[in-house]
Amino acid sequence: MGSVDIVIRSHAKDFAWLRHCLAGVRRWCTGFRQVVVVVPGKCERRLARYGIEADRIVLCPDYADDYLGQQVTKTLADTFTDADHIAHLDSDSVVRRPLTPADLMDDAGRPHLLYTPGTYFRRGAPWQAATERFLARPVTCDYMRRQPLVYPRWIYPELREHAVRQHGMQLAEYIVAQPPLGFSEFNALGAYAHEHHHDAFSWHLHPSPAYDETWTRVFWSWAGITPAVARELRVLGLPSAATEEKDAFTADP
Amino acid sequence: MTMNRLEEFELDCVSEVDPSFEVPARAFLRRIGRSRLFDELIRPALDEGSALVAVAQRTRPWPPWGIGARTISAMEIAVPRAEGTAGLTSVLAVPEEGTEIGLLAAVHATLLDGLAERGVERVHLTVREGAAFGEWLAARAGFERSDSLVLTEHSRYWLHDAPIDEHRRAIGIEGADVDDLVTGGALKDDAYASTAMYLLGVTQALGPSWDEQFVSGEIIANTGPGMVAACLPPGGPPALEQ
Repeated sequence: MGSVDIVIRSHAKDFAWLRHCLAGVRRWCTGFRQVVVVVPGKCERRLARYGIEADRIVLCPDYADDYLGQQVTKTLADTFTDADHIAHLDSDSVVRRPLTPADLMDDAGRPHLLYTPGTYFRRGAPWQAATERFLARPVTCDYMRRQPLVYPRWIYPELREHAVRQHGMQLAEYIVAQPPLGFSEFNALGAYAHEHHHDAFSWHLHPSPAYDETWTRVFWSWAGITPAVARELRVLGLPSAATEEKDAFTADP
Repeated sequence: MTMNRLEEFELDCVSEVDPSFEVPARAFLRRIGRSRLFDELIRPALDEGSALVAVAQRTRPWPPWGIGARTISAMEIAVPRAEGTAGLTSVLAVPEEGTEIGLLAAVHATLLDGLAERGVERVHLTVREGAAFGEWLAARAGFERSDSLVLTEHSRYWLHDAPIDEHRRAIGIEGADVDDLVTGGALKDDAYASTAMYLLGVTQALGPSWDEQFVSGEIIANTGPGMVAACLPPGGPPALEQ
């Protein structure tokens, strides 16, 4: 299976979330080689204030628009770690049950990837147009269905090479040149993998009752930590917040 | 939604005009009644590369992009920025933040940090000759009168300058972390008094200049070259004719 690192790209604005995210990782995740937190350089000084600790803290460039900047960073994940596989976790996702690398891959060591056809959505796949523009081909599914998302390290350089080949520019340049909502890093990775490396992944149609998606509670950081969210986070941090209580949190954010 | 001051404000330095700065800057200056500063000072100074602007701004929770996504609550302009020196101004703020000394100090410290990162070693205020309050305030802030002169149609102004570190020490923010300033944890007792006196004093003394009442301004923005002494005749500037 090789080594698997958890990589979390965060920002000072999300450090309150990140604390809960890391607490969930410490509590439930085993078998991962390292937890790598990546933040823009200007956020470094706030790490200590929020008590953010990880196996490694990596500083990335500051971006004028960090919504795009964090997408750039994720497509460079292989430059922040030499792990064979990279498990992406967002700051506002809290692991809520035991999780090992084996849960994220099949017996052959292929990462599980969920996909949902656009027909499942009232208005089509949410990132379809942006992903089609990047890949220059039709895209019919959405690939950002669960956290953490795992990709092998070799796919990142390939995706970056695609940007140069197709658009004549570095992927980072392409991303920051896009309009708002003009790129989705996980859909780009997922759709690229679906087309070019189908056999290197274990694909699962989502939603499927046969597939357990309760590893993480995915919040929406932009809405802030409301009193209701704070209550839920407290419950997630309690000793009793184990798998059997997952039903209390099955509603999507 | 709940949010503390630290998560509410983002402090940054701006060295060029782009829409993500221009729109909130214009809105901010309009709110505080000083719209003219954008076209008459900030834009030309930034365009010619001689200014640096520190801002405390908030970002709309969602979406964080688009017109109206950013709101500036406080701002300080350093101009001109040349030859290792920069002129300070006052921290402008929306009325509800006008006496939030921690936030104002954080903007000032952000500007000083930004200047230092760009190789600026000394900062100055431009103070009217004989202005009791202005000269006292400058001295309290660690500044000493230099031999650089600014002449307006009505008054003689001298650059009072100091190394950045000395100025920080004098006003009580030496070694203070910007985040600690925002949260109010860095300024205690004498440090709070020194910082408040400087920030509110400069705001008061620069007010007439911002409002175009140049005749009476005790402190003005130095909109000329950074160090003008080199341009003066041997022996220094001529004495003021009575």
